[in-house]
Amino acid sequence: MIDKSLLFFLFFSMIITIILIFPTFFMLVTTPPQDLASATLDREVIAAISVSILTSTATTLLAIFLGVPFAYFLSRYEFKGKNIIDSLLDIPILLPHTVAGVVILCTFGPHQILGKGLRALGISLIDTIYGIIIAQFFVSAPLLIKTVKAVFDSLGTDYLKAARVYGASKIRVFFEIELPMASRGIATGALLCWARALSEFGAVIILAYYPYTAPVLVFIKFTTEGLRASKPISSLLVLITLIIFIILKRVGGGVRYA
Amino acid sequence: MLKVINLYRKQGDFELKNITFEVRKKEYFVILGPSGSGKTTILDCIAGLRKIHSGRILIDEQDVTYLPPEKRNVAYVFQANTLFPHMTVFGNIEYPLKVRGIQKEKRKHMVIEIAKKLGIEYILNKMPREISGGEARRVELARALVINPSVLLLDEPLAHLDEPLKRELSLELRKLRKEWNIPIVHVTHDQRIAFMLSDKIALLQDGRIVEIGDSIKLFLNPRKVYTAKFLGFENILEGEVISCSDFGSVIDVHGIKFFVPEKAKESVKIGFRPEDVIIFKELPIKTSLRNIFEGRITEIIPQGPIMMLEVDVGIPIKVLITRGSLETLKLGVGEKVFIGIKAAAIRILED
Repeated sequence: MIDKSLLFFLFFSMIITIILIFPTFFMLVTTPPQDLASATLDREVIAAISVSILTSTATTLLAIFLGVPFAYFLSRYEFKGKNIIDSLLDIPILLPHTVAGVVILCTFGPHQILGKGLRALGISLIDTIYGIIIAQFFVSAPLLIKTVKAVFDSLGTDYLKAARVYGASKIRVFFEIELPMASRGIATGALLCWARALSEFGAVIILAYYPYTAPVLVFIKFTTEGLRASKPISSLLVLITLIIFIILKRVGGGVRYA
Repeated sequence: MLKVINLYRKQGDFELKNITFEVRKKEYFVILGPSGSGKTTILDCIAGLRKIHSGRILIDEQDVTYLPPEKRNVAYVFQANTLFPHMTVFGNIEYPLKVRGIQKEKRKHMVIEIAKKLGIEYILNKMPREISGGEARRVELARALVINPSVLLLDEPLAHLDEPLKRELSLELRKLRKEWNIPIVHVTHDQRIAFMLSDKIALLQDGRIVEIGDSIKLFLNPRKVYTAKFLGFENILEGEVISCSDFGSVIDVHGIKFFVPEKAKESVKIGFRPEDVIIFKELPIKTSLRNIFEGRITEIIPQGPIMMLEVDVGIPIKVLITRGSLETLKLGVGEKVFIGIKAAAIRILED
């Protein structure tokens, strides 16, 4: 007897698998090994992947440093306009990414209000690593903030109350109790943020066409040399990100509090 | 000694009002009320976790009303498990001592001492996720008591435990009172737990204390309908006083006349427990019972070893009898019976 409900769910699962998983797998297996090997040795490709990993890591660290206290603030304190801030955090996620680039340029561009301030400090965002980082930060930090806020929300305030009664100050409770308890959630948020930063193309290309990040290089190769030239770099990028993703997930998943 | 004087706090639509009580050292005070009545808020105010808008809180004659939680020396066991999951049991119990800047060696000594007292020294190196629910409660108690608190606050500490464990731990809480020379305030919605543990009880309803007093007196003689309902007076009836003398009053409830040995005014509510109702198969001839009514059994609801009967005597009356009695008397639904209620078991109640 065939389980009809199983067939029903299997049908939808097959379609989604074909759309979501098959193309990446197919690209990987159809990339000739010699093309992959030469991409690995190509200095331009290595430079672009290095820039991507370096900037997305820097972006993630910056997002953790600034975003975790902000997420905690949003989770634990009540103030007017809290809901508005919460909704505004979705804007960078919802905006088309090229628009996000334009938005950043309007504020941080060399002749704009904050851009002038940065220039006075000797920092330029146009065609620099800093430009890449700010573009990645703009689109990816909200993901970390939202994830971490949800984690702090889910912890509830009982632990805070308990530690407060035993004499710990709020800042001490944050560092000694709530931060370690949220560490797994923060790791998840950081991973999402890192992946989002690594894959950012639209906002990055508006601010910093050069130095090339991997997604920008893929785009250039595709528009100038076609699919065959862009495929090995894409495959290499997929492999590297997959490996890093699996390692980080294992490390992050090792800490488990129930 | 803990004194709470005229405590008032407003939070949205909810008001905690006129909360006044006193708990002496070694006294076990229970605040009994349904969820949402403000029990936890009172504890939070005593601990300093929530501000009060007026009133005073005194611990050992010191006014702590405006002191932060860490300056009140209050121990608090919460309803939810609040053991820090990233610390061992030892680390959890040690934490309050660490925060207070006590030296490492002394801390270790104090943790081991309290762990021995509560019988949990064998789990000191375990993580909270590796211990049972009952052990976790003991660890929370140890963490609360290790600071030698001036007051112990317990917020439904037995709420999520199964029955045997609940009984076991409530016996331990009773012991606590003898061993620790401090006032204990325990909030719960469970009247059985309340009477098992308390010396004094306050009944809380919508942020107000409805009735407060010695627990046995309150149990036997509640004055308010709300208290009576909470304490198991399942028969609450409204009637008119048709005669009143020095010996008592006769109250008419839909044509059924009850004799109550108390003076009463025109319209009253009376209440009695289902276990104070006696059931007969035939009309008892020689008896001192003043309230005997004829009726029919309309429902039999098993409650473990005890059975709850509903008898229609013109009005429905709830009766509790043992399963054995039910079988001996061979009672069934539709059966004609007589019920008797001792006049002294009936209370006149205020709204």
